Amino acid sequence: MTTKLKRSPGTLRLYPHYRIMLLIYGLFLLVAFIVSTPGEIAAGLSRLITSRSVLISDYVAIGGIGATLVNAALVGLFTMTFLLLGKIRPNGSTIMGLFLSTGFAFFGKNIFNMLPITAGVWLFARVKKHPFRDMSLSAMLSATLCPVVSEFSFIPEVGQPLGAILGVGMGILIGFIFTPVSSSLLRAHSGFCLYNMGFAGGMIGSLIVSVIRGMGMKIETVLYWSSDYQLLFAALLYGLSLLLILCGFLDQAEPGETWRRFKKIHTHTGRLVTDYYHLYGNATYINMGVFCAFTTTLLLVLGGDLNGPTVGSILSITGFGAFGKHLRNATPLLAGAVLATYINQWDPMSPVNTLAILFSTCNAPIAGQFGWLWGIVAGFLHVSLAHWVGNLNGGLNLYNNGFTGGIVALVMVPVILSFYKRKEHSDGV
Amino acid sequence: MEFKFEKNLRIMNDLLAYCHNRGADTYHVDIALSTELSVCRIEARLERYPEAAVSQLLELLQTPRQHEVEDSFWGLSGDLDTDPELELIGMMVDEADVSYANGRLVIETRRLEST
Repeated sequence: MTTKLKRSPGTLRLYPHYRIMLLIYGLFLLVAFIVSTPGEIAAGLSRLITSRSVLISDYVAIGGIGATLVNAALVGLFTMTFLLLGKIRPNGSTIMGLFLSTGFAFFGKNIFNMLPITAGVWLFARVKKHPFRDMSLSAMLSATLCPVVSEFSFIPEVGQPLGAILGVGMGILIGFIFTPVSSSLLRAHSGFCLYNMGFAGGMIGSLIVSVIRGMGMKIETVLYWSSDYQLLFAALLYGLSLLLILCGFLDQAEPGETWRRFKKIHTHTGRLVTDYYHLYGNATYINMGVFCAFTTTLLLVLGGDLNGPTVGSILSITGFGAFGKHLRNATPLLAGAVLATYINQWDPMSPVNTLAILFSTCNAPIAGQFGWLWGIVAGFLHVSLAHWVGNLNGGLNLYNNGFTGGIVALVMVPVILSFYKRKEHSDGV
Repeated sequence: MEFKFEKNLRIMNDLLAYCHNRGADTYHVDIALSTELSVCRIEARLERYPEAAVSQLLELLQTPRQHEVEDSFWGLSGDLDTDPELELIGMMVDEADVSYANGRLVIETRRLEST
C-alpha cells in the first residue's frame, strides 16, 4: 500500500501568536529595566539560579522584581525559540505551554534548571529515533521537576563541580523518562485533569524523594512569599487581559462572529484534548483574556497577594484558556475551592490555599462533563488534598496542583461514570 | 512509527464508540496497515443520521495533523466510550472522509506512519 501523502516539513515563520508572545516578553523586559537597575537584575538572577527553587519559592522575594521579570522573559524566549526552530505552527497546546512555562518562571523555573530536563527529552527522542519537535510539548511541560536540578546542584555538603554534575544528571534522567510516564498516566484520569504533566511529575518526584529520605537526607518545602508589588502586578495582569481581548477581535471575522465563537467555547466540556485555538481561532484570546481578568479580580476580592507564585499561576491558567478551560467549566471548581478554604484549619488566603484555589481549575472538565455540582465537589477536594500531597515530594514538583488534580480525578471520575448516563444526541456531533 | 498498531486500534475504538453512541447496531470494520500508511474504515448501520452531523464529524476528523499533540496525548484516544476523542483522532490522522446514505454511515481515516 503506497501513498502520495507526505509529512509537511513545516515553515520557519514568526506566526502571529509568536509575535504576541514577543510583545509580552518585551513588556516584561521593559518593566524590569524601569523598576530595577542592570546590577540589581544581574545579582537577582544569580540568586534565583542558585536557589533551591522548591515550592513555594517566590522569585520576587528571592531575586527581586526586575530579575524575576527578566527570568520569565528569558525562559519564555528560550521555549519559543525551540518551537520556532521546530517549525511548529501554534495551536492550543503550544499556546498553553508557552504561558505555563512563562508563569512558572515566576516561581521555580529558571534558565539553568530547565535545560537539563529539556536535554533529557531530546536524548529520549534521539534514542527512540523520533523527531524532537514531536516531543516539544513534553520538553516544555516536563519542567515541572526543575527544582530537582537546583536541589541536587546546590547541596552545600557536596560542593562544586560534583553538585552541578549530580543536578544536571538528575535533570537529564528525569527528562529521559518523563514522556512515557506522562503518556501512561493520562489513562488514569481519562483526561479529566488538565495538568497531566504535574500528575506525572508528582509521581516521579515522590519516588525520588522517598529514596533520598530513605537514605536519611532531608528535602523540605520552603516558603518565600512577597506582597510588595500588588499594584504593579495588578496593572500587568489587567493589561495582559486587555491585550488578549484586543487580539481576539483582531480577526478577519466580523466582531459578531468572533463573539459567537467565544460563546461557543463555553459549550465544550474542556476534557483533554480540546484545542480552542484550532476550533475558534482568535476568539480563543478573548477567552484567555476574560479568564485572566476574572481570576485576578477573584484573588483581589478575596484579599490575596499578587506576587511571583500567584501571578505565575494566573499566567498558567490563562494559557489553559486555549486548551480546556472557560468560565462555565471553571467557576464551579473555584466556588468549591473557596468554600474549602473557609472551612479548613488554615487562613483562607494562606499561600497553599491561594494557589490551590487558582489551580483547582485543572479539574474543570469534571464540571464541564458532569455538571456544576460535581465541579464544586472536585474544587473542595482539591484544596483539601493540596495541603498534604506537597510533602510527598518535598516541594520538588512545581505543578503540585496537577498531582493533586490527578488524584482527585482518579477517584471521582470512575465513581461518577458508574452512574453517568450520556445525554441524547441532538442534530450535531 | 512507534505504537503503530496500538494507535490505529484506538482510532478504531473511538470511531466504533462514536457510532455506538449514535445508535448503530451493525458494524463492518477494515484496518489496513503498511510501512507508510494506515487506513481505518468503518461502515455502521444507522437508521437516522442528520446531515449536519456529517459535516461536523468531518470537520473534527479533518483537524490538521499535530504530531506534538499526538506524542503527548495519544493515550487518551479510545479510552472513554462515553465521550470519544474525535478532535484528537483528527490530530492523529492526515485525511478523513465521512458519508451517510441508505442508512449506512461510512468513516475512513488515513494516517501517514513514516516520520
